[in-house]
Amino acid sequence: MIELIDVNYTYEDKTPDAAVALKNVCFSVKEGETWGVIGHTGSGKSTLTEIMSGLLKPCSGKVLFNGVDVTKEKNATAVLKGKVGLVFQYPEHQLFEESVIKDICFGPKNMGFSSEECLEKARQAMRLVGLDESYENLSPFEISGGEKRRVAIAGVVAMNPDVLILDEPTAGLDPVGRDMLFEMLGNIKGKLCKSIVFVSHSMDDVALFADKVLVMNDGKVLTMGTVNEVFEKSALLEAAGLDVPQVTRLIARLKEKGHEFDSVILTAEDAAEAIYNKLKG
Amino acid sequence: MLRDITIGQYYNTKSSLHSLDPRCKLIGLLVMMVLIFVAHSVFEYAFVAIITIALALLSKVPAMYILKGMKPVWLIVAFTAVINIFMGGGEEVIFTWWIFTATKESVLLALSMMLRVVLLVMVSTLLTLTTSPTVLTSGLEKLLKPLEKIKFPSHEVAMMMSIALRFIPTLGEEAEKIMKAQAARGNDIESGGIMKKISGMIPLFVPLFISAFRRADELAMAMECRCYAGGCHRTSFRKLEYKKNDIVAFLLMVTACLVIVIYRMVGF
Amino acid sequence: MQGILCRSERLMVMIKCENVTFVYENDEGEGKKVLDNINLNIEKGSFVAILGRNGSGKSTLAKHFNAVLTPTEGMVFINGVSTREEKKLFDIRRSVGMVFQNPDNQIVATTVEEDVAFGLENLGVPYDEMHERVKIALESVGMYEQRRTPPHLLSGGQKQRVAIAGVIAMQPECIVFDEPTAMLDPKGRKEVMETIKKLNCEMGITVVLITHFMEEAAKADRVVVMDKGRIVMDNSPGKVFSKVEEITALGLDVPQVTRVVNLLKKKGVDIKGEMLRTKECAEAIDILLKERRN
Repeated sequence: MIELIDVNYTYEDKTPDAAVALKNVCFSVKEGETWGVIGHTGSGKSTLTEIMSGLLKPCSGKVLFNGVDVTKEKNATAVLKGKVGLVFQYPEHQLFEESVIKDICFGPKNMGFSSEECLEKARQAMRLVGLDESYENLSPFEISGGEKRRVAIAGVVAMNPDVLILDEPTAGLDPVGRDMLFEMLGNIKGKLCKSIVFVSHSMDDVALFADKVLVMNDGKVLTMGTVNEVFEKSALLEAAGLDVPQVTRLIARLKEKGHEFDSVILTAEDAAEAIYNKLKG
Repeated sequence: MLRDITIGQYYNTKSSLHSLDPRCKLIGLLVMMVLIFVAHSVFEYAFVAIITIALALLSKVPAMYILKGMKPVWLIVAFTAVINIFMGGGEEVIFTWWIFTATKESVLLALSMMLRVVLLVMVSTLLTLTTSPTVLTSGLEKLLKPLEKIKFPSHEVAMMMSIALRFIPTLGEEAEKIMKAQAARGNDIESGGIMKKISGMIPLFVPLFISAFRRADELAMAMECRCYAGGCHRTSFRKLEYKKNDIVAFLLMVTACLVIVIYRMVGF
Repeated sequence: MQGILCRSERLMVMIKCENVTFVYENDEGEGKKVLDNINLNIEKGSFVAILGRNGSGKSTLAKHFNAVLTPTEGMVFINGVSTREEKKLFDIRRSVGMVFQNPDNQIVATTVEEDVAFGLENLGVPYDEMHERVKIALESVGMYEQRRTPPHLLSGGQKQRVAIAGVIAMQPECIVFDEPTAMLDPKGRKEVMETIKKLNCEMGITVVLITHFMEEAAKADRVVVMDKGRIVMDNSPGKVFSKVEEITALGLDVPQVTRVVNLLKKKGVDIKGEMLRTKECAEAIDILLKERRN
């Protein structure tokens, strides 16, 4: 669906303050995939999301959406508008309308839909993020923080994007909030969006929810692949100063002590199962 | 980018102008303003212009940098010049165009007004170029201190200025983020007519104001937790002392004023 | 009941909450009980984590510790002084410093060193002593090199360390951290947690850490778990996290290895101790596996 070929991006290009953000990045998202993107602050993750959604134009390289090169278009956002939805970090800070429903309608309205169509799309988005009709006429400033974030995500979902990109959707949430958010994303992916890409700092979140992982380091792709493939390279990740899930570390330690485990183990349940089998088997 | 906004564009280098006490420089600015306003003979204009150029040289700030800082005022300068040329009145007509007439007097008036504005802006730019905003704020606070006797809130004014300086880059960064987020929702402030542009600003300003208020709230609490209770009994991290250079500067200011006064009295 | 603490208690106890109830009233005058009869003693020199979900009342409780809020009912004593005594407000705030969640919204000044000096200026500390204390505070959080930097050029973790230095400079006996890492990336989180640990171990400052990250709570000597305005657990981290089901039911996480150990126990494996760290857990499982092999 989205394909980045040899993308480079430099902030303040051709000035003394030039800062390279992306170097020769090749990355593609296919239909049905859920990608987790990890890396340090300043590794280029956020720039990557903005390039994928057409907000930034790469300095060189191609961005293909369904095979069409959007970098050739004058206004990349206009071409991608609605097809790639981007939810920023702390999206609740962008709410501005007097009612929840009006705020969610903002995106579809900008795309030129009629009021009825906007309302319909907004209501569908509200259902997908798990907000019932009673929220429609509330002010987005008098609901709780978690609900605000849902409203903000609904504001992007209402544009019916094929690909939904989220920059650190779980920032500031407690464990229950985080679980609910991922449950909601699963729901959105099942019913509306074909693919989801989310940026995260937490390896545990990525291990739990993504099926593919892209690891960014210093503006370059460090490694990518399925969750198992990536976490197998724990040495590479740790060298880049990234954590691996605690369970993976536990198994790695046991391997060091001479015990053998055949596959990559990411969850506590799998680990307990594997250790138990070794003890009994 | 918005986060690069720096108020007054402090130019960090070492020069005798940089090392002066901010109070001395503020008073110097005041003196220069008065001199520029009272000037109205060729000698007087030349005198203040030479002082200004000398100050610019003393500051060790590259000339291009000073001129760049004055960019926004060129339009005002040109505008005042045009108004003065055609509205000045006077006898000796130089040329007439449609209903406008330019006379020798009006052209001279326009020239002198232009010179005044340029010199004024240049002197004040020199102050902000050679004094960091924080130092300037504390200088202003000390200078206004005596006004507290007539209930002027000098500490509060300085505090407000300093907090504004602290938060302008932060809010700039935030504005940029919100702008991007709304652009991702299809908000378009580049194209369309004025009305469309204005309505496109609402999704930017509402969240920005809400965030500014939230920040103000939290900051007030954080300040209270650090025992802030206004200006009384406060000591200062920054000690301002007049040094030898400042005394020399004050003497020069007095001399400059005397030159003008004597010139007027004797009337060469 | 209220008010009088015996002398020995005053020497030991930094913060004492007696039947603290706090009712928050909204604009329509409806009251909501945020804290419900809290009794808590925090000893001098200890490192206490207060763990709870968003909305469990933990931040409201923290704000009672330096008289930002006063209880609707009950009393809070700091060093034996009630937070209701308005004349002692400065003393209370000087002995209990506070670091908040958003690093941006607690830095007042335009350079690092001036921000650290802010509290000292408020207290009227003389010039030379102020400079000395600012230097020591900045050195202790490792920010002395950046003393002239404007705050907006610092990373989140660095800003938070500046905020901590600002509090340390006031030489408090206790620092309350209200979710200090919630807005930081893993690197910043690590920097801040290391600094907090250092304050407690090396400088002997009493630390109260409000958090919803169990990894951070696990670093404390004592974990107080809050839910719906009440204290539901109060014990050592090992004891608290070994109650995997209860903690999960409260909407909190336990360390993944603790979960593994708990699952193994359930399957009937005889594994002892309270495991929070990968290393000790790996060692225990290693012993079991080796026993089995022999």
